[in-house]
Amino acid sequence: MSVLRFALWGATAYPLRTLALILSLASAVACVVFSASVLGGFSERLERLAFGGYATTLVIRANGLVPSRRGPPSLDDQARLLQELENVESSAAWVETSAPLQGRSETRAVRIFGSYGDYRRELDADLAAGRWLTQEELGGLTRVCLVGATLADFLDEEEGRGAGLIGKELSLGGARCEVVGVLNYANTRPAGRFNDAIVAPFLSARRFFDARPESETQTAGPREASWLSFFMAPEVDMQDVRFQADRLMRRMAGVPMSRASPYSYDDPDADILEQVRQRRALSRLLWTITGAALMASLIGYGGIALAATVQRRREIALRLAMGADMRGILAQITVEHVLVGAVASAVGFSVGLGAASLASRLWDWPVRLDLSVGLLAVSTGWGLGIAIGVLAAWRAANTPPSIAAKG
Amino acid sequence: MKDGVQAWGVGRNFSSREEDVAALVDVSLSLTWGQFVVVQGPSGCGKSTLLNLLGLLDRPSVGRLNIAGVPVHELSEGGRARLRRAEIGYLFQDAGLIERMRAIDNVEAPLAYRGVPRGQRRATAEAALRELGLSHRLRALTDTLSGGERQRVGLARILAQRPRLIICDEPTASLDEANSRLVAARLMQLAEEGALVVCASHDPIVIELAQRRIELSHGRLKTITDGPP
Repeated sequence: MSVLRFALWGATAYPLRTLALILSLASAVACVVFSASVLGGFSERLERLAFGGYATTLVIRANGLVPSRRGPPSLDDQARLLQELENVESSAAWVETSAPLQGRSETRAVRIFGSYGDYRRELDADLAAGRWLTQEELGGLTRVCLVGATLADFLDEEEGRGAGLIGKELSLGGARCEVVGVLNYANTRPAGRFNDAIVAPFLSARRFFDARPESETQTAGPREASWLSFFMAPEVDMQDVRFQADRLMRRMAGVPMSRASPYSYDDPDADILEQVRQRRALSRLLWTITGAALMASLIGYGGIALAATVQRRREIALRLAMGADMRGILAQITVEHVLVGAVASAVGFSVGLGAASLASRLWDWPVRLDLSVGLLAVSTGWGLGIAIGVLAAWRAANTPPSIAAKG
Repeated sequence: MKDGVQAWGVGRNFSSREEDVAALVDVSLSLTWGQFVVVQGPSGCGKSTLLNLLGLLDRPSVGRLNIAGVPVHELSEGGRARLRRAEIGYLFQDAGLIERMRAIDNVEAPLAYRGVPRGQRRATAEAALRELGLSHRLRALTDTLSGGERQRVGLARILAQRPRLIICDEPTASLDEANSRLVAARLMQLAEEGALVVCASHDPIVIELAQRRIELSHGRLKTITDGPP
């Protein structure tokens, strides 16, 4: 108890010195908490922006390098795969065409995506105005469409976020299409292709809105898709899914495993790994800067702690003269640093979170702090503070007691 | 042999890059409990060095030293700390108080290191301070005390501690006559009660009370005289 009392006295007798110690250690902890919060938030946002649910999407296209009598995958293949594949959450079939479109002052070619199935998941955008395409419309030949956000800006004279386009008819290479909805900008990078495009029912797009020259369209059948998307459950092994899908598609196309597959299966993992590599490099850079700031703060803390020990030589010598032993002095100074560290960690944690929250409000930075990272930051700052405190305490405990006699 | 302090051929050298200084050379003496001893000599003669050795604040370079029958030159730092805690009290020229600490806490501190329970040490410290007329300054910070009050707090610490060996280094050097007489009288009283008081002083008030006078010159023991001057 005496050790704690003496330590409390030591921490409170010189308030400015204690304040300086608290500030230097708190700034170190705050620095780590702030960086961890901001990096955590950015990491989450980057991941969402980069991939969304794309990482667990199986995309099947025709393999352009291998000629096949079967042609590209079709709506029938989609139905069959939906029956056979396990862990499929939903699926969509897409056909990509293009047609000239008359804008406010110019005519330009626009991409038209005909869709069937769970198309909204792949669009990954909210509705700015109007309504979505219904399942009945998607399965029929209705001439209705959704307009992407960028294209809506190009078309809408009112600049009212596309609301003025609802109910209007667009001329797509001569065929007319009623706008029923306008999309917001896509949330993820892969869905960005829909920003400057029109989304229409699959069969309508194939039949009415394909104004490409015949050399480009070849002899596509009405049910043939540009690609099929299967949204898998998050826990599945995509490599395994690709293998199963390829086996089924080969069986339907009559292509043995000994020959090259007439279909390609996109590998989003490769993109993801590259993105992860880039993000790791950025994180490493930021953590290096944070580490340097942490070191500077701790050097400051160590400097103040050691200077305080020198300043307290007479007091420590007097304590030794009064009967304290080295262990007692070591314990007292260490407990002082434990107390200072506890306060500094709490202050640093609060300041770091507060600063991150302020940055979030001022600059719309995403902020997210894992509890484990927060605890690690606090315990690291506290632990290093105690380690420096033990060093200072060791020096103090070695003070010669004869200094007591020198007033 | 277990009584008091015995020294045989004790010396203390200080070494630096420039030179080696023999601060104390071949000092042998025997002091018993219940004596008031004054150490005299000009500045630099080794008085403080001798007091530091007798008070276990320093180690002799050569020689043997027994305190209360314990060969302290053979003791570890831990053993020396235990002996300081149990047997020795100090009164320095500036009283040796811990700054920014309350008077009563200064008096209590050595008792805390001895493991005396809090209530008991608080009562003992208060009694010692009241005895020296400081009942109104119990909770005063040391920084706010006058020179006389500081020295009385230092003396109260010794009264509370009741050590068998009391080391004083110029305890009255910065005091007025009234305070000097008070401090000297109390030290004499402690000696009469059985403590060995070893005091370095130039103050005639202290010297005239001494039962034994040790005179040092150039680090060597010059004379030991019993009785008043």
